[in-house]
Amino acid sequence: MGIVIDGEVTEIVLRVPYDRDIQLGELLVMDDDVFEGRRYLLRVTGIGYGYEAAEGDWAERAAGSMILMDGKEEYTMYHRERRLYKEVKCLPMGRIEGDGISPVKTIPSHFSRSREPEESDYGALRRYMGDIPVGRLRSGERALDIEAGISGFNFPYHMGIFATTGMGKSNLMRVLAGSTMRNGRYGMLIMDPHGEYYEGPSNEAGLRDLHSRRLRVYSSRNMAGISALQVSYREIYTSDMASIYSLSDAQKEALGIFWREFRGDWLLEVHDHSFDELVERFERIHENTLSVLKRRVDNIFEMGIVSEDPNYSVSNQIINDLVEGRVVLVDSSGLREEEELLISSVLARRVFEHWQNLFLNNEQAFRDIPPVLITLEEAQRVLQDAKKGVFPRIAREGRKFKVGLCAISQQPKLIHEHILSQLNTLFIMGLSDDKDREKLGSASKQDLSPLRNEIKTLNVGEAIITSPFTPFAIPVHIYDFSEYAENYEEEEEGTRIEHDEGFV
Amino acid sequence: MSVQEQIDRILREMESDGSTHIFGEDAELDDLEFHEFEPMEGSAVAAVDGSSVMVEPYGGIKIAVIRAGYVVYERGERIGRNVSDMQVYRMDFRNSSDIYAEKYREILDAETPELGETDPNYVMQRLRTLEEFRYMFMALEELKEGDILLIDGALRGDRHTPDRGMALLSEMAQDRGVSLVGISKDSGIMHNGLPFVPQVDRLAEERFPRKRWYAKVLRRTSPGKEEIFVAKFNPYGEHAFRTDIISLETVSEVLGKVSWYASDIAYVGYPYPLADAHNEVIIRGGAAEDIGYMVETDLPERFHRKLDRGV
Repeated sequence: MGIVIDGEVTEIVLRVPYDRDIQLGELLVMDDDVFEGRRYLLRVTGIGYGYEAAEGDWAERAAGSMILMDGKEEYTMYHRERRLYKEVKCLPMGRIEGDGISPVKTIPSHFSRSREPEESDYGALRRYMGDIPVGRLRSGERALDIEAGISGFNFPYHMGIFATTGMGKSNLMRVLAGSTMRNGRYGMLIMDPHGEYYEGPSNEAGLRDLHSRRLRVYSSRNMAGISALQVSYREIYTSDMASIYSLSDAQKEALGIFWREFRGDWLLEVHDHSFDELVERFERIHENTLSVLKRRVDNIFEMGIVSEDPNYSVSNQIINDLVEGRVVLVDSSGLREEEELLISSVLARRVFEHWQNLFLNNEQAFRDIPPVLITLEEAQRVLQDAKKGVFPRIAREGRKFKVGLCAISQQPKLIHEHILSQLNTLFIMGLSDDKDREKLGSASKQDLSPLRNEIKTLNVGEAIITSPFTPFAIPVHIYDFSEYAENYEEEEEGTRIEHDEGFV
Repeated sequence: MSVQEQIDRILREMESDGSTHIFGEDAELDDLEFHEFEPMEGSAVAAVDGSSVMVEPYGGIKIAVIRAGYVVYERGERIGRNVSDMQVYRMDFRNSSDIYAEKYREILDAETPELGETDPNYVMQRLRTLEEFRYMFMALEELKEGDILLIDGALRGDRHTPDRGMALLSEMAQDRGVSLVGISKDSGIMHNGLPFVPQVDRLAEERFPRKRWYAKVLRRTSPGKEEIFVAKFNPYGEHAFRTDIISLETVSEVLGKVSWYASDIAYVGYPYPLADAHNEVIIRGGAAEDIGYMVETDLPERFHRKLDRGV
């Protein structure tokens, strides 16, 4: 299909027949023309026009004649197949050796030929496709017959899912959740502020359509058969307030005073006391400051998600579900943004601390618990600061405790670069903003610069997965979740990993 | 002398140049009779061309590299191709005449007339012409009555072209009912000190805008001799060409058949088979370099020099 005409170790240039319909991102295999059995995996990164002509302005002149003659005089082009071709630039992704792929450190021999991948090439590719499939390996716009995804082992190394609205983030998340459920070896806590995962957007399937035994749902809305989302007031720390709400220094100082005064009961105490009582009790705090904090605390209780019973909370149940390798969906769509983030922070912190405690105090139990992934929508809201709140903390420290963060955002440029650098696996989907793409390019653990054009032209449902765990960035055509749900089958409860040496 | 003065001098010399021999010094452009014609499909058209390069690796050694061949087209498709391998001759002032004489005997089956010059570059050109004749004869064998044999250049002998070759070719072509057509990119014809063909072209464009046309510029002097025209093969072609014809058919028929192949979008107005033949035989720089390298590495003198180095 194509023959090497130029290039170097990091870029191979092919001459491809002019009538070959080739696309950016297409995968090719090149058989070395000299070294028998040596194969290279290539990915198309650029397509240009080629002309075999003595004069450099040949095409320009021919086009000029066409314009002049169109509709007036017939013309033809002899030997089109000889004179025209496509100049195709390819990124050498690796050398296929047995069932593996090794880095490319040389060039294919002169005039080596490329071809489409065949079944015999797929074995080496399958090895890197992970145990949480999200779609099929993509060659250009064509989905190959190879499932592609990520490994759940890498959940604790953190992930990012980035796409402009409408490019398929929600669909990807539902597929990711479905595959995690089907696998049964990993826990996943999904924070769903838009309420779109369980029931699905209109005319699309939701997670409920999988009828999975491994799905647990908690909702702030009143939904039949769904557990109510509620945490204990004692689980909300003043630091949670400080990290979620936009507070003045005086307000933060007041929170510190509350904590010192009431400790874990601070929220209920502030709520139960009248404003006048608070004014009288906290003379050092300005009345305006007290007023604002009192109003915010009362609002939290008004939403009905904070129990006044110190022992009542869904947190423990959620932790149990995750330990059992289930997917927990927290539907917080009925809440205001601040309260939604507050609940997310509380739950994330509870999970993080549980895994951390096991790591510190119970080695055997820690070995037995699965890796867990906490997903967060609109993650730029709480990841602009690298140190404030529980989510940046999980990004910094979670790996050691088998707790990963999955940041979902359409504006990765707003996420702090230190946080981005912690996200080892990136799902890059269609992003319209150059700055977003640049930010991800520099955060990626693989060099994405040769894929710049491909990333720019990603269609809905197409993604590139980059991670340090694969020898190349993996192009994927994400499953359509509605179709995925129709074919969903869940095996018996999966065997959890009994000994995970990597985390001990 | 300034550049402008030098150009003026060259133009004065051109004006006094007596090289306008075909159209006639007394004739005026307005005397030309222009005729329109239409393209005609159906006949086969063969085109012959050759190329040559003198490789001079070092030490005054001259290696002539020659290649010739032809292509045949019919109904818009290439149906035949015959191109020689590269022929390589070591040439100097002493052996060039002998090489030429041997080639002349081989191709034209006669003793060569006095060559006059022994300059290897000159002889190489003549060898190339002989090779082109070899392929013209072969191409004719593939053509039938009513077909066309296209040649790059004039049909009348010049300092490189043996009269005997042209005579044999003309005779053979007429026997087979094939028309010979020579097309010259550089006509060599001057009028009033300026290139003749562009003057005709400009005049015709005024009278026949966007038409195919021809004008006869030299009448046949005897049977089997060429007639010379200036012709435009495509209304949108950039150039008109000097076109020599030896044929039993009418001029319109012959030019119509040729013009049917002058519609390739990259060579509008130029018969594509000629361009194709040219591309087939051309000896590109890389090939010539390879030959020079082979000579350089094989010559024993080189080894001696290497062995003697540093002694």
